[in-house]
Amino acid sequence: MSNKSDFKQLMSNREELYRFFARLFQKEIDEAFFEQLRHVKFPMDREETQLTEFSDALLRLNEYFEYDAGETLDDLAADYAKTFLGAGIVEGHAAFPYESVYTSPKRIMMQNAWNEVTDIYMNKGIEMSENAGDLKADHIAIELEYMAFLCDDTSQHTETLFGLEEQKEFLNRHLLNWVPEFCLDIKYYADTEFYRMVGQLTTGFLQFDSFVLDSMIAARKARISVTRSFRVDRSRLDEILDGLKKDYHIFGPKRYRDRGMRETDGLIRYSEINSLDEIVNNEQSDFSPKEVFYPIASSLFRFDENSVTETINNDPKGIIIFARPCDIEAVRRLDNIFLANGGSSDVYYKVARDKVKFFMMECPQSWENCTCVSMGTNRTENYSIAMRLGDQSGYTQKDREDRLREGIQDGRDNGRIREVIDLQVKDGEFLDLFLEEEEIRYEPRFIEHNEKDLKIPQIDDPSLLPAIYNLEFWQKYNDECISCGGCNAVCGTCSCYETIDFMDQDNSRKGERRRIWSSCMRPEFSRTAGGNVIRKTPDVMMRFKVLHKVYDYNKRIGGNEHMCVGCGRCTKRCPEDISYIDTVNQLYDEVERLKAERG
Amino acid sequence: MEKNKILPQPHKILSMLRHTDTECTFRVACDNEPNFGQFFMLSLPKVGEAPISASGKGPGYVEFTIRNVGLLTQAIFDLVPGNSIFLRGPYGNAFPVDKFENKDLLVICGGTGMAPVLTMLNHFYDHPEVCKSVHIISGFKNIQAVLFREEIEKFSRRFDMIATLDNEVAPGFETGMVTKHICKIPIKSFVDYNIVIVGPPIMMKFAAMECMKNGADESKIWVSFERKMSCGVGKCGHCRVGDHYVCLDGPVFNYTEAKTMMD
Repeated sequence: MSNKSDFKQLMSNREELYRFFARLFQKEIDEAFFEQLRHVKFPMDREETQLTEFSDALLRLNEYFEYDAGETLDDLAADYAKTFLGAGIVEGHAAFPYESVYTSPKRIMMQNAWNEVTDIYMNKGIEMSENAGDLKADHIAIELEYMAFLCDDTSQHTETLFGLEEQKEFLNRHLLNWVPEFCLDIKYYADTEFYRMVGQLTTGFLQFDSFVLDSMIAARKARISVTRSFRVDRSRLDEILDGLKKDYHIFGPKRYRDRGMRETDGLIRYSEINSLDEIVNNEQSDFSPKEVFYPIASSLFRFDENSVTETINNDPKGIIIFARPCDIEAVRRLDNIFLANGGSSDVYYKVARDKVKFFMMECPQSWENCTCVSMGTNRTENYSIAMRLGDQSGYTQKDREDRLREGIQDGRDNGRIREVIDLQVKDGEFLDLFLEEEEIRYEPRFIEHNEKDLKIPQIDDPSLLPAIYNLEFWQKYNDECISCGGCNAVCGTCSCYETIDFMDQDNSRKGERRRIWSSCMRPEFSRTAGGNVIRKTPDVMMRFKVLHKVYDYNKRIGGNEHMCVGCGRCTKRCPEDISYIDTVNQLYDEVERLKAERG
Repeated sequence: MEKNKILPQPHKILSMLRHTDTECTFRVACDNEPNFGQFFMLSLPKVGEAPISASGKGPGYVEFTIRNVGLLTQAIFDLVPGNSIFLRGPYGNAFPVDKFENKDLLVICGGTGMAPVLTMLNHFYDHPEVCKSVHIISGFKNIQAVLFREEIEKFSRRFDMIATLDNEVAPGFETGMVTKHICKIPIKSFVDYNIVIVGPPIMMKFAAMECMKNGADESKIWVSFERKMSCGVGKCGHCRVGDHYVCLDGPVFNYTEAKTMMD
């Protein structure tokens, strides 16, 4: 059983226990539930025996069922009404199960605490169910139910730290803030041993669970940064990936022989893979990995004429992407747009992006149009695992010789060279998978030199911009560029989109709104109401695109990074052989010329 | 979990006021009160979504004056009160109306450019004490293109109102581009003032230049940009101009900033 499934099991056990406790307070006990209580299994680790409240309560629970206390279900029902509803006694003398009662100065219902938890539920997008009856949002049963919901919610996500912290926050700020006092009141007001025991058991469980949460959070935080390297047999790594498929969709650059524009070697784009052999390592992919979590087209919501239903991806599996350093760096640019620009996050992007972990593939070489060194994106730190992934076709003779010299020859397997992969694990979640492998010293090797350099225009004075906009050299693109938008499609950082409504084929009253990538190299990109087009011709569209990549993005976001990561795909893809690299370099020269003219 | 900012909700059309064959004001039930100059994203299922300025507001409703120029607006025109329209917003910044208090105000608008300033002008109409004086120059291509006739008549009762047609002669209208009439406004005699210009990009540029020629300071000029965004929250990229996003940083810009924004 993997760690992941252990974790899911634990979350599901906790969910059940919270639901169980919620039921205890929701209404009177019936026969079936009483039997369930007799057999319920509570977690109890030896280490936590210092939590005496809980262990005492468990002993008491066992005793209760071993030695019949002589309490009938009717007795319990009467005691429930008396203790929690204050039936038959002077008002104010009962254990009223509402947080507001215990936290407001006047000890009355529907105060601040009620407001707070109502907001919390609403922000989480959940509504009080019908069968909550007249229970208010801060009733103990509802708060316990919410914890159960959070347990399930957390187990749906790949990144669990946030969910666990959310649980801890609610438990500490709400339940544990009043339930212990409430349970002392139960002890005081209840007539039956059953409810007095329930009181102690509830407090004990909540304290115990808070302890469990603390240790899970601490473990996760401790595991977040590890740096250990291993040498793994290629076949073993395949087995490991196979195991990971239970919890992850695994994507890598894959070749489609019958596709592609140039009809040479097909098309390489990101797709789900089943084994390392499917990954193309000795060539650059035609498309960037962005389509894995930001697809060309995706549904935003379904609609009919009078309502909308958000399309949320409920796939609990995570996503692993085998990606190059520049492509991983490109994702940070997308994050800046979708998660930061304008101070809000795009929910659809965030849901998908939160699931993504990168397995970084070293580049075996710098390709023809790579300028990652100029853009500072040749290195990345943002990976769970980094690896040197030679594949059969990608090995040069020299590689093999080097490997033999490094002493890997002892691993001859039936006369063949043993294929090994060196890797570095930085994400504690994956560490356990490699602990039995040979630990080595390996640091990922990054490209330090490209054939071409990209000179980033140095526009330090914005008053230069009008002259830059009016440069004559833009106009040549009116002859060269055909506005196909291919450069935007393959770009790892182009993030623009538009929306389109689709009708269902079988019911024209229903449909969905999708968003699809859109291209600033197409005139319709800048169309406004009434059909006016702001940027009509390739010269101004090219200017708009290029300046965004090497000036405007940086000016808005700040720091040192530019939107372009120098992957060179736009140059490779262009059917008219327009070199983006030449364009930017020429712009650099023109800017220098303008500056010199100004003196 | 963060709120989904791009999910619209259906809102009932309360009433429709048809001005001409191609323009109509829709009053829609809505509690999200827009500020002067803000816009909403309006959409209809199966047709699409577009940004539209609020042209009026009141308790529990928002008004949109829509000109029938495309697929979406055509489909909206086919609706009747009681139907639903999908809405999200309001988005963008607003005219700095507090800066306009006790000062002279000149509003220059071309074509549909009047819609984004309508709520503000109605506010000043109802509260004539707010501004020291209000001058309006509203230009249209020709008599068929004239919008907001009732408003123009109403405003001319309380404000200094010039309505003009680019190259047609018609009763009640001057002739010539808005730029031709700017010299009639005593900008030089204003002690403190603001100028709001809304219309097509070219018109805004030339109107601003003409105002400056007549003694206006560029920092006193405010313009509002029109772009067709797909999100309204800084993600879709359609309204980006240089390092500005019209939906986030605008649509209202001071001219000192606007003059640097090139497409």
